Amino acid sequence: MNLTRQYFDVKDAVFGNKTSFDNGVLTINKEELVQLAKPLMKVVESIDFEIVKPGENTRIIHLLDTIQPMVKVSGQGMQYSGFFGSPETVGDGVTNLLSGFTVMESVALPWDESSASSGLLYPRDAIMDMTGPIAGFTPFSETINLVILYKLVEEKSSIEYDNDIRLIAIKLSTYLASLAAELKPDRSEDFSIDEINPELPNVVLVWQCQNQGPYANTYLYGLAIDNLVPTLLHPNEMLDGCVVSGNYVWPAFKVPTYLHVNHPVVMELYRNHGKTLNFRGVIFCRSHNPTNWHKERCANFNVKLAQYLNANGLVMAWEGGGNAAVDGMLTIQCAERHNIKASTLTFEFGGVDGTEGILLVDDVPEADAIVSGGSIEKHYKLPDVDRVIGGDVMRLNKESGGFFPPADKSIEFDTTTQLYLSGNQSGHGRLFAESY
Amino acid sequence: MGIPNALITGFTSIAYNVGANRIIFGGNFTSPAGDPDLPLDREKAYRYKILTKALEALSQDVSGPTIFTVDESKEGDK
Repeated sequence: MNLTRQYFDVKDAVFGNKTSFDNGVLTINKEELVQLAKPLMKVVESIDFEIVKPGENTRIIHLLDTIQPMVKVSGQGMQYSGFFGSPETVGDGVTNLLSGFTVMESVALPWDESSASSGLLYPRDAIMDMTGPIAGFTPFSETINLVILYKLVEEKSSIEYDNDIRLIAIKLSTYLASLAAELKPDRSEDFSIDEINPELPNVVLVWQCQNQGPYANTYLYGLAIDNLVPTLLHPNEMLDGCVVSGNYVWPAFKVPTYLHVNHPVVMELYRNHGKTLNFRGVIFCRSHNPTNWHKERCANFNVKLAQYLNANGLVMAWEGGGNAAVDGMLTIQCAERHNIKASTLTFEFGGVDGTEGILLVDDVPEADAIVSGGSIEKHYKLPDVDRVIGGDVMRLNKESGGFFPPADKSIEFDTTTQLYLSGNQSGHGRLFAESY
Repeated sequence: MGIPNALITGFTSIAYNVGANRIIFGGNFTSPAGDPDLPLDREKAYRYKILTKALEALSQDVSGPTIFTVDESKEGDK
């Protein structure tokens, strides 16, 4: 399987009379995009757009998914295969990507008890700032972002809202990427793992994603993965968007589609392929299996697939908090017991100074190579901002009745739970450690 | 010494690692003391079984974290 990614740098984005892409400037006509989305607006009353650029003193709230705009120009299947077409296997051929540019979704999904919005699995307000102390938590403080603002028809179901929101964002992002069709790319990159060097160790990634019902789902080729046994993916399938996020419950842990498609661990394993290791593939599975028994079953499938790939090493990575950590730890244990070395990356707890209480929800003695993604129990004070995208008030603490502070004012958080991607374990991060 | 306690959970390893003494491996994460997929009369019997196992565990001396299983289909050496 050979994939060429052609990157087209978006240097600026502006609203204008006609949607076009020239000399790195993306001009967006709002009405044109609205017309394109109209047939998909079944439970969406209207949509509007905002452009947010790096360096702006801007906050984005009610943030759902963030999408990598791309379009397949040759090879089987289409971008985000399974949405808008047959779920044909992707990962071969040529794909065009807009680089330095994302499409984001923002809406305050209803907090009613009759829907998916009950218990702990409700859509929490995800917050990001383009500048200031929390800007580094997301890669999107450095990209130009087109935020789609949705106004929903009242009294519809979670599944309908979720579906419309995602389809509209994929449709519009694909359209914008298609504008580059006749242009010369700024860069291109080839991806193949066909050649194996027998002298090097074989390494696989186990990528384990959340799936706990509407608003907490992950899609594989267009279908939620709630009953998925671990399966094997070529990393190129992920690059072409076979995994799409529909997860809005934990802003810190969720992995947006953009990071499935530009998965930092996949990219790093690719950079090392043929140099320090052979990247043999991605084992993809569901986390949050309902009991230890189910988790062990999943772990055994993961390791069996890794053995078929003659893996010497396994990188374990998961989306989610404590529940998913148990799944991950059991896979590490199972791998080590079958003579496959396993490492992982995870957030930690540990209180304000990093030493209080438990550091990890669960661990096994075999988990002896853990990369810390930093603590989610650090305090952060967000400053006042000039501009807010997504609404006038934040929506916090539904469990205790709700708290709705003004979105443009300074606010202090004693954990990073609400901060977009602050504890995600896909390998994105700017934290570093220094021993002294 | 103290009051004996038993924990019903689907996530036995977390309970074990934090040092819960009597761990009852019940139903799933979202319904540890039952199974909503069963018809109601069967679920009631299952709930009763979990609770009975928890009470039985309470009356036993344990020297450290001990897992008690309820579901024969998942029973085994731990």
